[in-house]
Amino acid sequence: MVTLGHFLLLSGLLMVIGLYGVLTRRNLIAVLMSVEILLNAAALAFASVAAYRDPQIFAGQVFALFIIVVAAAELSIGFAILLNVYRTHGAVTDDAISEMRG
Amino acid sequence: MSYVELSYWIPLLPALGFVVLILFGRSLPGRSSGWIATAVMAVVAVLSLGLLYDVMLAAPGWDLAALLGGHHEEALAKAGSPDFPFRLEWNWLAIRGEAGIPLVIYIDALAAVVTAMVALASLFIHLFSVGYMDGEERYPTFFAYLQLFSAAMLAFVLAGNFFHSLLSWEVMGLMSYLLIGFLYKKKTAQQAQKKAFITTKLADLGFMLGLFWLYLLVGNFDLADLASEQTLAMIGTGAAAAVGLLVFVAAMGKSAQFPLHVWLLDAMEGPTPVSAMIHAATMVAAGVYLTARFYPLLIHGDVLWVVALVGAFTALFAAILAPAFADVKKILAWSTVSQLGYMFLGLGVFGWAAAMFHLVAHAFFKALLFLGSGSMIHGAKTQDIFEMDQLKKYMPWTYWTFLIGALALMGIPPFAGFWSKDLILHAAEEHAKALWLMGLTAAFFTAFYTTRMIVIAFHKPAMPSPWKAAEWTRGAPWLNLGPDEAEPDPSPPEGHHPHESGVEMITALVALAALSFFVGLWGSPLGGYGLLTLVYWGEMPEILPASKLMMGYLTGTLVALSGVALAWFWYSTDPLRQRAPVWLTRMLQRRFYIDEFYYQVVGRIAQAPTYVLAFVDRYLVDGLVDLVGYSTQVASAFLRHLQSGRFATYALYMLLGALALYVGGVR
Repeated sequence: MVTLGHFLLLSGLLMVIGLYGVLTRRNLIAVLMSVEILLNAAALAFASVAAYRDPQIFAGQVFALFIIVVAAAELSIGFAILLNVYRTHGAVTDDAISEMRG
Repeated sequence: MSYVELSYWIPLLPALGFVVLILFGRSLPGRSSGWIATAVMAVVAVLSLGLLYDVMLAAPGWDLAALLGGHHEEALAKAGSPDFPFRLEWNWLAIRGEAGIPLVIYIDALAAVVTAMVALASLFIHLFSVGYMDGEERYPTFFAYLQLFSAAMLAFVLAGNFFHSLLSWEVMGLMSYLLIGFLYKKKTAQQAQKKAFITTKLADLGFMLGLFWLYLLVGNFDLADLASEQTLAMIGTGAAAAVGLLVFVAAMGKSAQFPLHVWLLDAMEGPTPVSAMIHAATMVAAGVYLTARFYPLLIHGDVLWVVALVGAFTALFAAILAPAFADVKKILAWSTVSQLGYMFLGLGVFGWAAAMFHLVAHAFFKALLFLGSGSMIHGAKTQDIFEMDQLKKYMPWTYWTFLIGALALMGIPPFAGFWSKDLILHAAEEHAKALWLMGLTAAFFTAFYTTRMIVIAFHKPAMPSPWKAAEWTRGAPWLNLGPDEAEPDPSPPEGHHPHESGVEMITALVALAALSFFVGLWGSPLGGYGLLTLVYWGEMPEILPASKLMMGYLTGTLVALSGVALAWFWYSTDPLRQRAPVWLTRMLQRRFYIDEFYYQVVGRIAQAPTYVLAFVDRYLVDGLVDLVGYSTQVASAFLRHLQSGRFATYALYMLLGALALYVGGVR
C-alpha cells in the first residue's frame, strides 16, 4: 500500500537531487533544471499531504498549481538572463560570471 | 566743544577708515582709496594738533629765566588748569555692577605731543604712499592696513589704562606682521614677517606677565595711578624691579633693542612706506613710550641701569654694523636701532625729557629719511646705494630733503637730532662716563655711515655693487633661507636713468623736512625750550642753560664732523676700495651671526620638547587610530573569502542558514 510516507520520501529524494544539482553543477542550464526539480519536490509534497490529510479542502493542490505557474515564469526569466550572459560572457557556466568574487 | 572731548575720534577715525577700506576698497576706482585714507589722517592730524593746543593752554607755564637761573620756587608762571592732565572715562567690562576695566583716555603733555607726532608722520606717510604704491596689487588693502596701524598706535598713546595699551600693542604687532609681508609672494618677505611677529610676540609675553603681576599687586591697570606714592608703596622693590624688567623686555622687542633687534632689519622686506611707518610713527616708538610710562616703577625697582646699558650698547652696536651695508633701507634700519638705543640710554640716565625729545625729533627725521629712501628707490629702481646714479643731479628735491634728515640724524647743528642727542649725551655724561663714551662713539659712526650713504648714492655715478657677487650674500641665512630660496636684490634695468618722484611724494618729503627742523628748534635753546617746558618728568622741567651745554655741543659737533670728514675723504675718492678686512665685512654683513645663531641654536633648543610631543602624537595617538584600521584590514583579509563570486556558494550559505534556523526553531 502506498502511504503518505512514500510520497514524502520521493519528495525528499527529489529535493536532495535538486539541491545537489544546484550546488555542484557548473552549467547554468543544468542548475536551472535542478531548480525545477526542487520546485517539483515541493509541489509533490504539498499535493500529497493535502490529499492524505484533508481530502475535502484543495489548498495543497492549489499551492502546487501556483508553484507550476511560478516555475514557468521563473524559467522564462532565467533563460532570458542566461541568454544575455551567453551574449556578454560567451559561456553559461558559473566560472564565467564570478566577477563579484571578494 | 573742546578738542579734548573729541579726542576719542583720534584713534576711532582711522579704525573706521580701516573697516570701510577693507570692505569696499576694491570697488573704489584708481587711487581713491589712498586719498580717502589720507583725508582721514588729515582730519586726525587736525584733531591731534587741536588737542596739543588745548594741552598747551591747560599745562602749567614756566618762567624760563627763573628755571635757568635755578630759582625753582619762583619758576611757576601760570598754574596748570585743575582738570589737567585730562581724563575721559567710560564703563567697560562692567559685569553685574562691578567696576570692570574702565575705558580711559589719559591726555598729559607727553600723550598729546606723541599723538600729534604720530598723526602728522602718519599723514605724510599716507600721502607719500598714494604715489609710491601706485599700480601695486592690493592697493586698497595696503591703505586699510596703514589705517589700522595708525589707529592702534594712536589708541596706544592715548590709553590711560595699561590693559588697553596691551590690546593696541598687540594690534600693532599684527599690523606689522601683515605689512612686512605685504609683498607676500617673496619668500624673504614671508620669512621676515614671521620673524618679526615671533620676536615681538615673544617679548610681548613679558608685557602680559608684568601687567598681570602688577594687577595682582595693585588691583588696577591705571596708568596715572602708577605714578602715585600710595600705589608705589604697595609694591616691594623686588616686585617693582621684576615687573619693570618684564615690561622692559616687551619694549626691547617692540623697539628692537639688543638682543631682540633681529626682526627690524628684515622688516625692510615690506614696502618702503611701511618701513617709515614702523620706524618712525608707530611700532618702535611704542616701546620707548611704554618704558617712559613705566618710569616710576623702573625707578622704584632701581633697574634703570639695565635700560641705560641696553640702550647704550644697542646704540653703539647698530652704529658699527650700519657702515657695512649697501642697501639704503638696511643702513637706515640700523640707524633706527641705534637711535632707539639713544632713547633708552636717555631714559636710563634720568634724561626722561631728553629721551622724549629725541623720540619726537627722531620720528620726523626718520620718517623723512625713509620716505626719501623710498623716493630714491622709486627713481633709481634699486635699493643698492652703489648702483644709484648721481641722484643729486636727477632728484634734487629728494636730495635736499634727504640731506636735512641726514643732518638731523648725524647731529649737526642746528638740525633736530643735534639738540636732542646732545641732551641725552649730557645726561649720560653726568651719570656714567662709560655710557657717555659709548654714545659719543655711536655718534661718530652715525655721522660716518650717513655721509657714506649720501656720498655714494647721491654724488657718485652708478658702479657695480661690491658685495653682490660675494658668496656670503647668496641666499638669506639670517632668514633661514638657502641660496636657491632667496632672490638677490634687483639691479636697475640697463640704460635706466633716475627720475624725480611725483608731486604727492615730494610734498610729503618737504613737509616732513620742515616739521623735523621745527620740532628740533622747539626743544632747543634757540626755540626757548618750548617742548622741554611742556614735556618733563617730575615736579618741574629741568632745563640747562646753553652755557652749561656748550662743552657738550662742541664735543658732539666735533665728533659728528670728524665722522663726516672721514667718510667724505674715503668715499668721495675711492668708494669701491675694500678698506676693512674681508672677514670683518662678512661678519658685519652677516650681523655678527646673531640671527643665524637664533635659527640654528636657540631655534633647535626651543624645538627639542616638540620632538617628544611629536613622538607621542605619531606613535601613541596615531598608533591607536592606526590599530583600529589595521585590525579591520586583518579581519577582512579572512572574511573576504566568504564572497566567492559563485552563486552556488551563496546557495549553500542559504541552505546552511535555513538549517540553522530550523535547528534553532526546533530546540
